[in-house]
Amino acid sequence: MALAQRAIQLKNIARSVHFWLILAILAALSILHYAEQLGIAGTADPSSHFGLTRHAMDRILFLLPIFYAAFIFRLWAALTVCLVVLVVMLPRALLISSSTPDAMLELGSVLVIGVLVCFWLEARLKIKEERKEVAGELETMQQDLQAHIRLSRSNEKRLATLNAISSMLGRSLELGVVLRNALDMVMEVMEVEAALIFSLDEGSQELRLMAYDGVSERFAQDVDRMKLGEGFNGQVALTGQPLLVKDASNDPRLTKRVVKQEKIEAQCIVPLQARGLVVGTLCVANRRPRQFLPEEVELLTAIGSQIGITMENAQLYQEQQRMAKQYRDIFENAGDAIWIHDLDGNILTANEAAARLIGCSVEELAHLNVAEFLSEEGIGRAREVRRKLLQGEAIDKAYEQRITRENGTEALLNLTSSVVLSEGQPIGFQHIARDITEQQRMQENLRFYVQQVTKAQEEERKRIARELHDDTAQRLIALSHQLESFTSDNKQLSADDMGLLENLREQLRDTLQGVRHFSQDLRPPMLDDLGLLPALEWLADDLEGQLGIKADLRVIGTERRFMPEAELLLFRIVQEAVCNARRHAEASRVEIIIEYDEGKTRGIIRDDGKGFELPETLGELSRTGKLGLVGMEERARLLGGSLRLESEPGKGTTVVIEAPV
Amino acid sequence: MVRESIRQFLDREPDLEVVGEASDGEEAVQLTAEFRPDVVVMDVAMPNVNGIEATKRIKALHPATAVLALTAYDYDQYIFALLDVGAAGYLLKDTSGQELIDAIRAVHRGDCVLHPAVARKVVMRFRGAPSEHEALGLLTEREGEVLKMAAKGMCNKDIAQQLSLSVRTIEAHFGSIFNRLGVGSRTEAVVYALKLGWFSLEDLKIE
Repeated sequence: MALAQRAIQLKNIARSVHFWLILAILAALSILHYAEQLGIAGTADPSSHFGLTRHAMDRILFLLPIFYAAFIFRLWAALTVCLVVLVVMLPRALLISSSTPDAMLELGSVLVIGVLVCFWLEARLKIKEERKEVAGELETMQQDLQAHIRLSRSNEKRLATLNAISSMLGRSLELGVVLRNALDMVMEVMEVEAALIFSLDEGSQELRLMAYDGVSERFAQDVDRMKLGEGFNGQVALTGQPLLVKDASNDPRLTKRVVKQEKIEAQCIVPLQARGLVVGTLCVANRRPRQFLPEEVELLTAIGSQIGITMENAQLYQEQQRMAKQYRDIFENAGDAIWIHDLDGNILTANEAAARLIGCSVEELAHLNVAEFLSEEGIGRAREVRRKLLQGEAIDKAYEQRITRENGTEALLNLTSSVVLSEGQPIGFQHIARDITEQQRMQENLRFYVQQVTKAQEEERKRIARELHDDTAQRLIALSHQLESFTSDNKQLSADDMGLLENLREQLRDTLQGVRHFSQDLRPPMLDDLGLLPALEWLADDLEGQLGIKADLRVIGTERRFMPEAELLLFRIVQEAVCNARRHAEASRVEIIIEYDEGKTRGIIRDDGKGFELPETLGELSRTGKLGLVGMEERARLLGGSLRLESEPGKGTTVVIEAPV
Repeated sequence: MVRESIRQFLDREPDLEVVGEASDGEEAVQLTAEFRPDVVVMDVAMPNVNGIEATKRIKALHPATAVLALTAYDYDQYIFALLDVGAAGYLLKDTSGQELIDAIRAVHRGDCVLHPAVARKVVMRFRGAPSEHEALGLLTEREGEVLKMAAKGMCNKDIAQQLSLSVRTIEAHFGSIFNRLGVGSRTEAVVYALKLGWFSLEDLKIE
């Protein structure tokens, strides 16, 4: 290895001009030193110069190649030359010189001087070299330092730009303003002539031009609505990678001729990203050649991400604004009254309908407390609702609430309430109310009418039944008695006549039976004569005897008599329920329970029939043709009580009446 | 009108005298107090105070007066109600005049009016009531026996035969029973006993 290195070194030396020059000097001096012996003219005169012989001069001259070599090839080459000089000079000094000691002294002096000078020179050169080396190192360090400074400056600038852009982007949520400002900033930072921002429409997969600067309107129109993958921007939107175009106008990939007309040359396009998805592109362009450095592309990409996020935020914000406006519109224009109050009942906001309902302006309403238009009872109910809502129970059913208007009149409301939360904490309640005063009044009128009709019907039945019983039946009995008297008074009548009269009496009896039955159906006399329980007993017996339906009557508590009207109503309800069980439910067993409680009476009629799907409200029964049930409910109401139905297909039906009698 | 025709029937019978006629329950109670009749023929369906209520009041004031009720309806409920308030017997309203006259005489005689089937129903109906056999102690053994036979639907004559006693003796026993139980007719006495559960269904079986 070292050998090879040495060889290369020698080779380099051999190639050097200095080497050959040194060789030539050595040759020339050798010839000069032995000139007389070689027969060269003009050298014979061994004259003396400056007190030295010519050969002494020669010998001094030999110092020249030594110094030369020392200077050019350094110490080892110079020592080699010294050796050569010694070899050259030694023959003359020993053999030819007239004064060998002098010659040897000269020779020795020259060599000693030569070697010394060589060493001195070497030392000098070494110091010089070391100095140079240190200087070089210093230079490199300085360069490094400067590079560092440059880099940090550029980083600082980049961060500052990004900072400026993000703070600007965060300043507004209006998309138009945001993009406009972003564009200005990008153009200033990047020092470009034009900039465009595209947004990727998720639905149509088109790039919509959202903002631009530095290009003509025509250009803007032409590049709007590029498909995903179309043109440079489309490409960037598709790949999500930045794209540099050196000369757009002459690029073979160019798709839009308008770019050429606009004389666009350099372009740099980066994707706008949000949540890792490409939401658009940012394109900066120049009409003159422009080199985009990697750090510039990097910066632009970072800006692109910022804009992407801001753009999405702005879009979300716009959507939110739109929804808020929609809600506001609904709130303000709703036909139903809506108001929100805090936990203490102070109204925070209310709509026009609410103001109309209470009878004041929206502004006045906003200064009211709900307690001001609620009754004592209403406040109690409101508290109950409030308690339930705060406990997290949902009130999914509307409830009724009575309020007093500003003008003192009362209104009945159908209310739906919900709790208003802010950061998970209840801060108030929202109520949606519908004025059902009129509806209620109509319903009451209707109910009154129905009740009157029911009463009238019963009255009429009673009248007819009485007529049948008191008049028709009595007449028939009297007629029968007369026939009997006649027969017993006229014993002389023929057997035929007697048979005829007997037959007539039989027919009279049948007719009387029919009339009684009819009268009985119209108004069971048992109810008037004996009371509710015997009548119900008879009903049960009749059911069992006539139709084979097992009927049980169970009585809980001590029997008491009610007003004839109340007994009739209760009887009719049970009768109707039993009739339904027989006719519609096809029941084989009916249980009637009468429970006498303090101040109220409960009737339960349970069958094992096929049952039916209960409607939402009893009112719906009339629409589905179950008028019998509606009649039952009306009668329960006439009693001042209530009627409840329990049924399920296949599970029988239970009717429960509760009356305060 | 019916009252009119009934009166016509009754007037023909020499042993029966109509002492008063009332148009409603209220009046019936008043007239009973006034004339103290042996038998009151009472329609159930009457205005103001109906026949059942009127019977109840009459029995409360004059236990010895027998009430024969006329009802238009042959329903157990009516029968029980009538027996409950102390009617000595009941008849369907459209029965013939002759049947009515027979029934009045039977009630007055204290003869059988309560059909055994009805007696069974009465027992069934009051089965839940507490049994008070010791209450039979109100009566002598013989009286209890006589009453049980009456409950089975036996007439005085049959009872007399069965016990090898005279009909008069049986009638005397009944008079004693009526006094002890505070009732006015054998029907009442039987119902009284049935209601208190003195006899079981077994007892009522006709041998």
